[in-house]
Amino acid sequence: MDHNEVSRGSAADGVHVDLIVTEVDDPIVSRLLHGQVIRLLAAGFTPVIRSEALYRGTKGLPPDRVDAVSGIVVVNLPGEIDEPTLARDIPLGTITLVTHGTSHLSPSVTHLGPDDAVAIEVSVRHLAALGHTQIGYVSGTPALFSHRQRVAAFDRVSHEIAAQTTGRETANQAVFAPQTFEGGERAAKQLIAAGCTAVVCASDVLALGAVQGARNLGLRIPDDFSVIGYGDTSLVAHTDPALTTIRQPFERLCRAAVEVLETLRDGDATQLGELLFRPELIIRRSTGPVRPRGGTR
Amino acid sequence: MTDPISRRDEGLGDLDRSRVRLTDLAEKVGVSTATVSRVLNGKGSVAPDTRKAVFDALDELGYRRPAKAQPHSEGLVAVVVPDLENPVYPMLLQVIEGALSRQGFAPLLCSQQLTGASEDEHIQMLLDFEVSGAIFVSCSHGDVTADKGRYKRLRKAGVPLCLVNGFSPDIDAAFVSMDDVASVELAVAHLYALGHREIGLATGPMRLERSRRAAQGFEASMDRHGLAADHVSSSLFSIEGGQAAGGALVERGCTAIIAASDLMALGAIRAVRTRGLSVPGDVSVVGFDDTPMAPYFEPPLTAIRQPTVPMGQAAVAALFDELREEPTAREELLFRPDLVVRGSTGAYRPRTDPRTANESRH
Repeated sequence: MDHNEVSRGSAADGVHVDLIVTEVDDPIVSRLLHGQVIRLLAAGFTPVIRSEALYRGTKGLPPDRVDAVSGIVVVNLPGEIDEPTLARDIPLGTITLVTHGTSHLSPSVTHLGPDDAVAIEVSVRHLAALGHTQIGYVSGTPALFSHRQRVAAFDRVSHEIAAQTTGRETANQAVFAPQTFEGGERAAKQLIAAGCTAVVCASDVLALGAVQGARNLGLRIPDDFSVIGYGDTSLVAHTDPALTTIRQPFERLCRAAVEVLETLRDGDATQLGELLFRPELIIRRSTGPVRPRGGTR
Repeated sequence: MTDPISRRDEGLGDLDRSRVRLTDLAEKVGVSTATVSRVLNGKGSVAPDTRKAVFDALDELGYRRPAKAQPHSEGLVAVVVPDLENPVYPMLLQVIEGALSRQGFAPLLCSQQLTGASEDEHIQMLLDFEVSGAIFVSCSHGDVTADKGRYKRLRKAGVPLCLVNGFSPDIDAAFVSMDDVASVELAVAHLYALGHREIGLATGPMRLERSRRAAQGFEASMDRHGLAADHVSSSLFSIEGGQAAGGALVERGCTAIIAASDLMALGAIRAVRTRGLSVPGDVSVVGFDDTPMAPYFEPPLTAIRQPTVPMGQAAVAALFDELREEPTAREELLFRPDLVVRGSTGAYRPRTDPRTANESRH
């Protein structure tokens, strides 16, 4: 309660933090939310979960929220709603958006997120090292800015690597899919038909769907087809096969978000810009060396 | 009558701001005019001390307190869960959040799994923020050994409660639970039909009402099949807990294990495999919750599905009944689960491991 000492104003206003969330039951979102809530509570903030719908269609924050919150954490901002829209009516220096999963920047917004370009690069490099030259990417909806960014990173990195390893252009390609098991299944079938022997997926759910899609075509994982997920969400170490995936630095992200909020609560209006955290590739059993289709062990 | 505010009996919405001079109040109290406005309108969240200071200043400056500035207008409902790691809690939270926001309320989320914050501290926080109600999921209300004083404190402060998964007759609240007895019965019937007779139950801690009910249901349904419910082992709800409890059951020669959560089921599968046995070849395992990943586990998990959507909706509906002081009958609402059969259960066949040959089965 020592925050009360800062000033009377912040004693009244400095406690609430709105967490704007969609799809709480999405494994990545719930993991971020969990980490964030724990950290915020430990730091003396009160995290209130707000449905993204509450903010949709408003010009920025609903008026009663502008005064009520000291900070906003946007977890996985969806669709075309961007942070500048949310931030429009927010007085500079009093409220900051700390974001996960998006990269729109406006001057009053501090963005925290995993470095997705690195995530894509280590994924594609891992597959290339295993001999794959026809690599597909299964993206989430293009409406989400971070997905478009990752597709761009995939295009760039996969061509770079192809040029280095084989000296020629490859048929690497990205497809968009709904963020569901079924979406991943369908996308994998498309990419397999196009000749891919491996896919990088924008989420673990998509990756498990891709595993299913490949198996439905009679392919074995990883003998005939390799799959990389994204998120290292709860339980993917226990799936069939255990998923090779990108682990986001959830802990450090959530801790840093709280530090940013504390900085702003304490009246420091420093622009912190974009803070990118380096993810790790966790290698399990869904990726393996490329081998001719139909080949046997 | 000469007081500019006293003529405004309609309440704050009509407060004549220029006459009340919000800035004077704000300056006197040392807060922003927005904060003063929120106190007077009874909207948004304001710390109780600040609210009191604003009213004191209002009194001191000779204004009449507006009728609408009553404390309970937060629009916040506390939702307390043990953690968000077990996917079933995010699933429930998603439903609860949706149902609350359709009613114009927002959840104030508290996770029990905190460094340094106990459930008691949460409750003090809820009182400080004057929440309109509280929903507790799988918290200490279901712990028969826990002190129920915290819930009584909330009730005494006029906060309506809905308690999910866990029942206590001592607490004045609406209760919504998964039917643990029916769940275990479903699992036993499935395993019995597959030919299993040495069936074990891997439960959570026995101080929890849920675990006790599962054990009762286990005993009753085993009895109905003419079997003794000898194999009950309890541990934590986690993967590690499942490995411990499941391991003990495997050692006792069980050919089938009913786990009290999907995480425990994963642990039980691990316990079977570390003993050189296979699932479901040697030992069948049934999970509990049916999380979205369950079909993708190795093997795909046969599981009892917790009906999170109707349960979450019922919890919010019951809370609003309490809020409107129209409590429906105070019966605990019990939700019947489904059993989803996948690859972790199979027909009984005698276990092939040398270990059991040396032990009880001979």
